[in-house]
Amino acid sequence: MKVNEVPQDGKRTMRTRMVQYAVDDNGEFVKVGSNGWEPGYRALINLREDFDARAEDAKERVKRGQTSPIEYFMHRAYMELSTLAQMTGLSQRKVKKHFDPRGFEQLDDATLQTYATVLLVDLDTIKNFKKGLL
Amino acid sequence: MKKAIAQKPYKHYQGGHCESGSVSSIVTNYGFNLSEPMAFGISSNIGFVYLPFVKIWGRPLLAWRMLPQSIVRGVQKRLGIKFCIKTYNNEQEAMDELDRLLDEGKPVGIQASVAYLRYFLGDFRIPNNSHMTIVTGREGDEYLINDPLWDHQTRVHREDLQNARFSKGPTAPKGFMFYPLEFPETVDYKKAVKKSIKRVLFMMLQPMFPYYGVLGMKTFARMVKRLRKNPDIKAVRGLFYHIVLFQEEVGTGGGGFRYMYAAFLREAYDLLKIPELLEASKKFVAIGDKWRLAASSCGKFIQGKTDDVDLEKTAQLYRECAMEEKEAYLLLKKIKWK
Repeated sequence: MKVNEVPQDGKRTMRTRMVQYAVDDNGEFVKVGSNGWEPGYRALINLREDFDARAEDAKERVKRGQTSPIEYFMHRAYMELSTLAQMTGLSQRKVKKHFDPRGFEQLDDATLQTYATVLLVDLDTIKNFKKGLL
Repeated sequence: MKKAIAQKPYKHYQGGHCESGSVSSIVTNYGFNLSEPMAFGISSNIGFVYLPFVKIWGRPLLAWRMLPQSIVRGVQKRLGIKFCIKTYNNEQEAMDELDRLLDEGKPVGIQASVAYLRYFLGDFRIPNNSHMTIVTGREGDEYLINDPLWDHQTRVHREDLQNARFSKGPTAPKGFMFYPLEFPETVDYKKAVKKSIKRVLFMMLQPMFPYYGVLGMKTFARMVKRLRKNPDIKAVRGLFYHIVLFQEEVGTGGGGFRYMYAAFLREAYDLLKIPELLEASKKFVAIGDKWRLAASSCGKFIQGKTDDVDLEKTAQLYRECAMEEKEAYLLLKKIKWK
């Protein structure tokens, strides 16, 4: 990559100029600041949209009483079942059980707090989520 | 061995990748000149792994480098720089130790989860545990962070830093912390470079495991080619953004690491004057361009400009990457080290 080929699309994913290694006219390697690369930016936005769609879907199902708020907040935190299970230290079977609204109601505060910490939300937000929807 | 003494004030270096940037930045600030490409190359960190049976976000694992923490350990092994590397079970103990070191004026490198580092992506809190960064000081409840990816110093709150250091999940940091203790008087670069290149050749040209090295790239290219039979266009688009994300955006890098490795070979040539190194360096620049081209070929598809992407051509590009990289490694194999 030549110095003038370093992508400068003006679409940053991070709030800084990233550095890339490029070759200058004398064949020496120099660090050049890049102002974002469009495909990479699009990829990150796509990831975000993907999880947003999943969360919206989960929200609808919470409304209909088919799943629990934990699933909604899991998608909000860009996680999936296996990651969530690993992070909370519970088994995947247990987590699946807590996705069930009946299983969710039986949860004690301590376990719910574990979920809240991992999913980066407050305990009350999870508890009152369904009420807020109705 | 001479003792590592932290220099004040901390001089900020920006790097292309979090871990090699951290190691090079912290070691340079303790008084041993180590560039980022050298840290990356000497620890033999270039690689390729495609594991279809290990899923990240429901899609296959892809990485163009070795595991996190391997650069710290690799630099320690090859260059003989003695690091203090620690992990903790107790969160309070870890934070106290960090405070003690910072009060002594020693910057410390840590592994942290990006979800808790607020400056990183803002409200977009991806659970990624393998980010390396440097803590250089503290003011009250706030810690000063000289992140090697950033062009300026940032700040993180104590609570966030503690959570970030003890985030759970895959590749959990467990309070991983490193800083150099002692530097060798002289380094035999010839031996170190030879060992690191031999390791890369051994790993990349291995003929057994079809998911690693050059064989892995071929398997990956075959997978891309097979996608043309997939009728679910949405799933293919999902897979493509995953590829672009892991290849060029997050710290597993494709093209970016090839350029860095080229810079390493160039630096090694300046030290050792072996002509093959220069030639291989030029080849790696071309390979990096090819990876970039392949990624932007995927990128066209995810940008939604066309529905009818030429998968055959994309797969061909990935295959060419594999072939060219193999040529470059075979060239490195010819070096007579005496």
